[in-house]
Amino acid sequence: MTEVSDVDVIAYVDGCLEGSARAAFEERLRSDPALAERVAAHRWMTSQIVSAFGPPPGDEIDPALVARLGLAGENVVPFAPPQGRTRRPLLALLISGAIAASLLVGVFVGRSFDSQPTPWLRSGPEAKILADGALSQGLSGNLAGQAGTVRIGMSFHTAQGVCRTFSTGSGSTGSGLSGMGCRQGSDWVVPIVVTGAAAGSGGDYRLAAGEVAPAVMAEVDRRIVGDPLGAAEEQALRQKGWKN
Amino acid sequence: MSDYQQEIVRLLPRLRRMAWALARGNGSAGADGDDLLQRTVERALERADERKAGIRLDLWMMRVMKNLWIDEMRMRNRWNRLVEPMPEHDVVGDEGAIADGVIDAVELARIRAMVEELPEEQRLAVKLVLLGGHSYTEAAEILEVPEGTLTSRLARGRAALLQRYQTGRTRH
Repeated sequence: MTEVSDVDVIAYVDGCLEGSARAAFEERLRSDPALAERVAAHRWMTSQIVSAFGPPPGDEIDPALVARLGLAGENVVPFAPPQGRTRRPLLALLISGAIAASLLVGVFVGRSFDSQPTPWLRSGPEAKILADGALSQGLSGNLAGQAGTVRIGMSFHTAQGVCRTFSTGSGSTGSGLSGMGCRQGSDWVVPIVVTGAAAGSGGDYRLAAGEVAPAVMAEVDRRIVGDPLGAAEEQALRQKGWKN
Repeated sequence: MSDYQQEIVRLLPRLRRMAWALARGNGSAGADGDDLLQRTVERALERADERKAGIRLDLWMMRVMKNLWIDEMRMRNRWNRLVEPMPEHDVVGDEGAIADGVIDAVELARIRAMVEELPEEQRLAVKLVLLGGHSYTEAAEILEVPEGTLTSRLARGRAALLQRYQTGRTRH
């Protein structure tokens, strides 16, 4: 038998083989286990790629976006950068067409890239993952059930100290995080965290507000000692800096 | 609002999806996609007269967006060689003792990085079809290549991803 081309395998996986070509492919598929394996591998890889990038933006268009894009009317609308961030210097330079081939500019741009904070997590000693920035503040300051960018699901005791489940808004990353932070000294160690995309099976999955991913719940079950803390116990612990 | 502006507004959902598909990658949150969309619309407003007669507005704008993105990526790659450290995803991926949930997130980041590392032609084909949801015909039109060229780039890119992914797995 001749080898079936990758082009045909991919077209079949994408549902783009039609009519007689499709019928012939499926006929061959029934008698060729190696081909069936290639199809299965590509199907799986395709689904992984789609989930890796998270859900695409929806079709609803905010009037603010229309205005920002200068499409709202006859009046000239100034191009304000989208809320909460400024254009990266490189982009600004690109737009003005003023890039000079100078190492100085390059170093400047590189620094500004490097200094962009990772919003939620940083790496700590012994390959531990630590909560950072808003997540760290949210874990220390927010009470369970409060609305906010970092929502706390519940707090509970473990053999190693207090832990709290959290979920973050999807923000501009397109998929929020769901995980657990455990107090260790003045840090919040994050023993488990999953992205919205990782938590679900399909590419269009997104964690709902306050939802805790199943993998995180399983980790809570493994570690919890006693019952989840009530509001009063939570507040008392917060005052003591989450030390037992 | 002029008819031309209204026509662009109607195209915004598709344009935004395409900008997201091209720009959403490793280390880029969503801001790059917003910038790309904004610059595409700016260009379409400024240079409306450059659109050749007979070419659909949506296709023209998608080609404008594709060209802006290719220019930007080439520019960034030049700067990256000068100033940016190598990506660290391989180091992260080789740490064995992290909880399963983190490995999921790390795996997904690794897949995104693998897509970003594909040669430009293959990367654009993969992103437009799998992330942008464009048909083979439309992706070929946007990239201004025959459909056979598109399908061949798409197949080479996806075969390379599968092979690299499987190779990476056996290392663990």
